[in-house]
Amino acid sequence: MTAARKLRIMTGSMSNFVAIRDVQLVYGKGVGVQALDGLDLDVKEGEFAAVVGRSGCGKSSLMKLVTGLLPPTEGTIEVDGKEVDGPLKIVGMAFQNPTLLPWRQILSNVMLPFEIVDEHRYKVRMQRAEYEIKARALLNSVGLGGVEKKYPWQLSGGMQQRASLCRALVHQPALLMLDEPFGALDAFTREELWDVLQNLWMTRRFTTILVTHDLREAVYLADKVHVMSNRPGRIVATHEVPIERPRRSETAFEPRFLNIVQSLREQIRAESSATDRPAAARDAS
Amino acid sequence: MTTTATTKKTKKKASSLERAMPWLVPAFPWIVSVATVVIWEIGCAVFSVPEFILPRPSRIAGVLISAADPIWFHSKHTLITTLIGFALSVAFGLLVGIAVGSSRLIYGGFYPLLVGFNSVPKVALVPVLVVWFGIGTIPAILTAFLMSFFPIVVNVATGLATVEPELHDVLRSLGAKKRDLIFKVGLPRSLPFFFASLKVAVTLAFVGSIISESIASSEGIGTLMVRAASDFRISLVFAGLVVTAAMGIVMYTAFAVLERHTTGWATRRVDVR
Amino acid sequence: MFNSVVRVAVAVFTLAATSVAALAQAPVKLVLDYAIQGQQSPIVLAADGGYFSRAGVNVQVDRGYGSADAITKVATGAYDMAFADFSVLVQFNGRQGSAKLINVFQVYDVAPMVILALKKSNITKPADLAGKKIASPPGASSRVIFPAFAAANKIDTSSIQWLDVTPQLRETLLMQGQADATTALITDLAGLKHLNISEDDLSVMRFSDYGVNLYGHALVTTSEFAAKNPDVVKKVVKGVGEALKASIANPDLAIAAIKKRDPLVDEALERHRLDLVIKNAIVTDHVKKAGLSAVDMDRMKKTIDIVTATFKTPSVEARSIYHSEYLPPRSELMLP
Repeated sequence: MTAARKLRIMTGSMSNFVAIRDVQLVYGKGVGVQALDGLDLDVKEGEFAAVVGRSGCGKSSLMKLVTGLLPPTEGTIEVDGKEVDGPLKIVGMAFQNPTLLPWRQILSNVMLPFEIVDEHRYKVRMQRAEYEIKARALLNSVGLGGVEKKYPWQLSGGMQQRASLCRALVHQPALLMLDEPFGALDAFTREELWDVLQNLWMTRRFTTILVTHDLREAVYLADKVHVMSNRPGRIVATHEVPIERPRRSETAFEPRFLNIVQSLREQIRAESSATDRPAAARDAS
Repeated sequence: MTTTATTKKTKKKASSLERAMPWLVPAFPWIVSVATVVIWEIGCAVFSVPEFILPRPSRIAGVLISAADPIWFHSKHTLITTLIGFALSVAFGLLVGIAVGSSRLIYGGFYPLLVGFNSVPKVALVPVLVVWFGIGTIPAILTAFLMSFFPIVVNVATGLATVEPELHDVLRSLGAKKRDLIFKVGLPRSLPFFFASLKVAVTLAFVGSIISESIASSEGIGTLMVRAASDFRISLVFAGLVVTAAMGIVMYTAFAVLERHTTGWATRRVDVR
Repeated sequence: MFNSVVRVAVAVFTLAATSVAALAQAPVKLVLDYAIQGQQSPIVLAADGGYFSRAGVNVQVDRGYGSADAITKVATGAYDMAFADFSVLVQFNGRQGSAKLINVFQVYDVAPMVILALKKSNITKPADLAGKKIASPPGASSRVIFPAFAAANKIDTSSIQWLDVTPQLRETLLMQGQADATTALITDLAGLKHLNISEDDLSVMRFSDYGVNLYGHALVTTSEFAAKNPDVVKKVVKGVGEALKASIANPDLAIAAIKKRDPLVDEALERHRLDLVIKNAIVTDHVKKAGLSAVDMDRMKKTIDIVTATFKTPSVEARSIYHSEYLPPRSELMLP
């Protein structure tokens, strides 16, 4: 974290790090599928934002737009004051599938961003040892201290996802994008990883956008939870989560926590019946 | 309760056979081969099959020993032309495979040409090669190359084209260039396909060499077999066939072993779903 | 019930039909020594010009892939008869140690085998071949018999570098200079002429001029087939004889027959080939006087001896290999 950023956070004078204005996204040729329509979203620097909604509402498309992997059909997306017109280089991404490279050991996987990002790619060859120290420290902090030399298929799903998070953060990106990262894990592992992520975020304070269908997860981790409507998606509401950190598993049973979750759930249900679309059977828990 | 008991019972049955004869599994291929040879020998004797139709294995073995020098001389020649042609295939196949697999433009432009070319029987090309390059080694190397490069191209291109989009997304979001995508993700990901194609390609190269030799050459196991056939020395023809088969097996196995060593990770991938 | 009745009826009918078909005469299968060119046209004429049917036999004539291959095919029973070189037959019998194949009609009075070289390579006598590159198909009669030529002219065969080629490439390699010489039949001159190399550019060494005067191509079959089907063999021989006479009198007739089979045939080229083989192999002075297949048994013995000596197989009686009992009366074999 740079000194300037620290200052900005402490004085509370954070500007919008991510600003999405009136974005439309249409897939396919011809008439196409309108994935997003009139989407507005603001995320302040250092903020942890969550986006929730039913499956298929366009949350993953939102991810691709913010990181510049897809251009919007209409509207603007700004990150750090600049308009996005191609893949950003200050982002870390993690998906539901850990997508670790199976032919590399864990340490080598985590070091991958160093080999690609312009700032480090030439230095990493000369000063590999220094970079390795950073990677190892990060792996340690998430509890993967002894597995640097192992291959991805030798680890459990939860451990792979932790490694994936490390890879997303090793180059100290200013923005972390998470697309349902814990969706494939069992309930116990999921809650473990919430704490892992929370710790990381509290130490490094990167701006985060977490896309998830799990309302409890959103409320546990985020400062603000944005509710997305069904397709064509747009943000219909934003709920603040004024619960102080660090949040613990007990926190998730407190009335104030459950109230927020409940109001989110009702809102999403209302959304479904309002737009009269055949709602997906999957219930947001 | 009953189900568990039954499963336990069948499991025990299988392992008792293996326990009784644990050597059976690795020994079985040898048993089958030896049995084939024995049946062949007895069959020829019992039915008095004339030698020029089907020689007996004992005769073939005799010829292998008595004609060992010329057989070795010619086999060596074929082996060398095969390996050189194959090496050319690997180099060319990798380059073209990468080009075709990583660019839609090049893919569209060259694939029809490659497929069309591959459909031409190489037997028809050999006389042309002989006229252009002279008789002997060069047409054999070229035929070996022409027959074997296509599977390599296809496999490398397929490997590159089937990389999971998320892998690409992760790298692209870091600002990876096209080169990074190919060398850090595409090619390593394609290695299993590549090595799988090598097994096939080396045997095709071998066939190509021999085809070329049987049309126009002065050395090589193909030449030996054609001469032996016109000399009515059918045992020698079969000896040549045996040597050819043996060389083919050795080459295939060598690359199968190489494949296992270098791509162990591919056969153990765990899909996190 | 009705279903099974129908099924049985169909089975019975099929069985009956196939038996009837089997009883009808299956064609005699005859394989040529090579692809269908001018030299082979009289035999094709015999089939397609009605000579076989007039003689009372149904013959299927197919192209071959060298005399050695043709003889092997007859020996295995894949074909009943062949038109192939006699010396190769003797060699085959020698290797098998039995009189498996027999000669029933001597077509070429002389085997027109030659060594061809470009004049500029200065190969004018057999000794010049030592140390040279000779292009030749391994199964061609001129290659098979070359050791006899070498023995008769004291050439060291180990000094020769053989370039094995398919017959089509032989002339090309000679022309390009990749080969110093080639073994061939006299008919090759036509092909070379087609490539604009005339006889003046070539040095031609006929085997018959250099101590290897052999009987050439003949109609061959297995002794078993002849013993089981003597009438069939006689009819085939008669048909070939008539067609030969017709081709000698009017070569265009034979050429027309092969053109009908393959519209891509170059009539001029094939006519030239046929003329060469008629002049050099079939209609010799002896044949003009004595008629077709008028075999001099002493000369035949000499042929057999040369071949057995070359391949170190035991010598055999001429009469065990050449069987004249299938020939039509001598009068029918005389040329007008």
